[in-house]
Amino acid sequence: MLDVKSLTGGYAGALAIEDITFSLGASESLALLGRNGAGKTTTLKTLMGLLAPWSGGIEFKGAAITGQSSDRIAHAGIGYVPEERRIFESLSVTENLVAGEKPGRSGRIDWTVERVFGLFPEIARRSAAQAGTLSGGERQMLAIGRALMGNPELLLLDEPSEGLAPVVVNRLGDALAALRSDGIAILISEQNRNLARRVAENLVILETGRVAYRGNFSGLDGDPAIATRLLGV
Amino acid sequence: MGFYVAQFLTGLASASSLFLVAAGLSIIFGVTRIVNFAHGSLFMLGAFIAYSISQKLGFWLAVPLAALSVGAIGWAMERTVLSRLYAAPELFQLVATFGLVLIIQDAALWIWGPTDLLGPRAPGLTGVVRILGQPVPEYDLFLIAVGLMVLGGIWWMFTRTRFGILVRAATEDREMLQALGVRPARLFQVTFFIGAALAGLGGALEMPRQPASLLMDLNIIAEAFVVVVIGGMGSVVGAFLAALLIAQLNAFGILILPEITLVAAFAAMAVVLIIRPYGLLGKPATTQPHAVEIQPPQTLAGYGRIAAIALVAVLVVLPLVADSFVVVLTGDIMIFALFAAGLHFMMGTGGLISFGHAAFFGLGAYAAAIFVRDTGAGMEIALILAPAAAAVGAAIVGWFAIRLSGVYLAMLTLAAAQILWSAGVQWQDVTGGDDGILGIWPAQWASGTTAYYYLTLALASTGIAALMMAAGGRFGHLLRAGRDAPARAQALGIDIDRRRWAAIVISGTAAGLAGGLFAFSKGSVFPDVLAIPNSVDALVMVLLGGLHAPAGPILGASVFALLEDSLSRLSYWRALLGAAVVGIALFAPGGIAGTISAWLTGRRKETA
Amino acid sequence: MSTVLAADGISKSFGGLKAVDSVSFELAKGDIAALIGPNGAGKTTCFNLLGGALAADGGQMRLGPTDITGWPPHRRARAGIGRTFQIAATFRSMTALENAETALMAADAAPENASNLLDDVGIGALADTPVTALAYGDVKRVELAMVLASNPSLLLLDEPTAGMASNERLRIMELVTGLVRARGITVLFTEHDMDTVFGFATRILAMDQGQLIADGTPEAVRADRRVQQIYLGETESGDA
Repeated sequence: MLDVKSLTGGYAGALAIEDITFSLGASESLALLGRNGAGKTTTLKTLMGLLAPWSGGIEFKGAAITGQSSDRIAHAGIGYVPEERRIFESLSVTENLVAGEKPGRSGRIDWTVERVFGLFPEIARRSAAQAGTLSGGERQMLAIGRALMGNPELLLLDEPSEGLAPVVVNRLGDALAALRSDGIAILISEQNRNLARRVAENLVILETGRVAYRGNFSGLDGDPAIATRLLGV
Repeated sequence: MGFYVAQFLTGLASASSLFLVAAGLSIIFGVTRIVNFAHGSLFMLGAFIAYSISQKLGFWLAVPLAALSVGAIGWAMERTVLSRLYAAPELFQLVATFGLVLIIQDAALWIWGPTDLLGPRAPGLTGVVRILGQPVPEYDLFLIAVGLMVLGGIWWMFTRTRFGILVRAATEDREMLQALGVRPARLFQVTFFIGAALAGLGGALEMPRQPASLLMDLNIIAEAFVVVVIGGMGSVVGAFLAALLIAQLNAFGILILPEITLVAAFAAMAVVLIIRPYGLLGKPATTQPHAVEIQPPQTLAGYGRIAAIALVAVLVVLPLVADSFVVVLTGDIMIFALFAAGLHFMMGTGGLISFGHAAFFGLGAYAAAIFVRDTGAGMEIALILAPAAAAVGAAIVGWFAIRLSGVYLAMLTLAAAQILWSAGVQWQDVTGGDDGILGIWPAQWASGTTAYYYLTLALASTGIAALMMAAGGRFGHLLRAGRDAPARAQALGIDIDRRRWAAIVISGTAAGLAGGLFAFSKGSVFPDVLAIPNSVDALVMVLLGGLHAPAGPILGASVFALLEDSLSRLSYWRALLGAAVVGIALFAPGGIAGTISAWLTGRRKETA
Repeated sequence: MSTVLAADGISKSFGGLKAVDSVSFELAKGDIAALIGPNGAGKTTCFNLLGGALAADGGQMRLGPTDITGWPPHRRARAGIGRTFQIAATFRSMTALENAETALMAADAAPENASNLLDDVGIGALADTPVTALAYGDVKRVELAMVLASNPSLLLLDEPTAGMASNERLRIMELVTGLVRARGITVLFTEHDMDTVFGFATRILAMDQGQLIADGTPEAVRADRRVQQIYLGETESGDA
């Protein structure tokens, strides 16, 4: 579904990721782990077309999307949930969802406002509230719901657990697991391994902008030294 | 009591068209981040087009058709010019819309001629109603209703349609919206159409109240800028409240002292900016784009000093070999080169945009003229007073300006200049109004063509040299540091606010000296010196010469004067100027010096 | 040891979120202290409070004996705080040398010393190159030369190695530590790369959710239970 080859990029001349290569099969999910500053956010932003890649290639469903504008990448079937959530704070919850509305690649419409509210009853209760008044967890649910309204086949999630209480993270894990079983592929960047493993089997660990480890969670559990070296202090 | 109610209703009626223009301006800014200086021109076009249509189809069809036509014109403007400038520095976006003002102005002159055109009154609404015994035109009540209906309509669009939701989302976070799959281009086009149509509607509805005239564009845009700055850029409700405030200030201010209405609007803006720098309902911008391109100065390397000495030598010898026409023209060029050099200092080195620099030029000219007229004292003191008066004016404008940046600064300076211009026209006791002030002649010793030429040469070359040295020296480096990377500059200990303020005052002082020299050169002062076209001339000289070349203002003023001398007799000289401005913004942002320097660099690379 | 910087209960909220929540610490002369923590922990906000780019909601800051709470950035700079930015900020219309000269002018020092500054950071040979034409690693060096221009007593370095290729990280940190030791400058830096943190810091401050949760020697902080939890991504409940 997604093939990333030797992706290199960064901001304003500053290198942030170097030679990143990984791929994702159909309906597969992958976790991108690493300490902050490792290049997870840059990788996702570059995939989404928010940063121009310096070199390397990105293929989605067999077509090259390298260097395309973010709206075209969205229309190709990729949904994006950014790290800071970036919900439209002056809009109501429902309006945020409407702003994300678009048919999927083949004109399919699987997601409606009602279905998103079914997945996240927490925000359904606040449908008319201004999004700026939502709590951290509600904002994250809204950002995910808004991305789902575009009927994506692949969802990019950038550190969804950041700043959230454990029970809320748990709740998000349930929802993401449900999306997985629905057949939506997920690429999740996380520092919270517990959440990441509920969503994905395979993982890539980045360290200072490069791929430092590639494998799956059972492999990682069997080798705590790697985890401490790449993720701990 | 009844009288005050009537006056209040008149104010509300005036607020309607002001609101229509300001709302469109604000919506366009919110989505595209472009301040459309040509928005007043769209209002004017609305009035003219409505007049023409009404001659065939009558009033009630003319109004909506004019609004739609103006919407289409706005859409075309976006497609042809502005869509190419979304990634450009703010200065070029502003300058391009300014060029459109000039083009539309001459287009209207060509199509409708120079005379004001009074349209028909609205059939069915020609009478008056008595409210508390006072007559109130039915049409005024209709306008109030339209203003409220449009506000309601915009509210409906913003909350009940997907397009409106997208506009609000884009105003908040355009990049995120694009990542959700919304193509910015289409959103921008529709936004421009709607914003322009609102301005066109405002203009069309003015038909029974005032004739369509070629002055409508700049008058309304200056007021609309005040309104959006007070209301907060991007906020429609803010625009509505501010339009009410300004219209009521006008309606009641005129009862107390007619002249005060001009100052009142500006004072209201000043108060709001001190309390809430982003306007009543505005929000601070999240990202601050660069006002001008960040570039090294294009110097003449080691040849600068030689070139300067050679130029002064030629200018010294000139009166000995040339006829008096050439001497007078050259004297004028030097005055304008000084004016442009001041603006260049502030914009190029400081990154501070002024679209109303004529304010300081005019302050200098009027200060000199009023002093000579009222005291009968000589030119020498007047030529000290001229830059001093401009410096005071610049210090006041600059005090607000350093709180603002980029587009706000451009709007503030334009509004300030427009208000001073109105004062020049209306405050007859002091300025003589349109008749100006006559008989402002140089002192005996400087009165001949050649003598005054040498005086001009001495003062202008000293002024320009001082500006160049300031730009190239410590002050200029620290100012430029604040332009290039404000946070970095502050973290190195540079008080950038104070330095920017000083830059504005220096720039205004140079303009004031130029204005004083100009007054004695012509022997008279008219409100033209304060008018927008004078600001535009200075701006064109700076951009034409090259924003980043120290010699740019001299080059720009010379080329401009020669062009003006040969082309200004053409009827549509302003449109040519406008086209040139748009052309510079689109194709040659470096001006003459920048283009030559880019060409030289290219050649050097080829040969290397 | 004399205290160079003291933060006493500094706080900053955005909306309802406490980005920095009553943080207190002191830096002694010669400390090379690292400020670490996950994204959103409040490191950048803390830096902006110390540099003066943001005004604190509460608390006090002292530089040496001087209360600098409420001072704007340029005044703090003149009092002796130098800072670099996460994405190196230089004056892009100037050459490397002009950048250093401008920094010296800003500190009321003689611009003639600019080439010495560039030599100190190892880019004397690139003096006449426009900064826009420099490799990013060299831009970071220009920025470092600029902050040294005022002879600061305290340097705030926001991710000094971010954006650099892996082989350059070590070199820049060796340069920085060498320079500050020779000049007796105190350093507070944020950094994501743990090799850099443990390789160079003499002291580590760890933040999470706006609060300072650990402060001590590298060994002590590495052994701290809460720090480990945060970095290994285990939630408090420890389930799954």
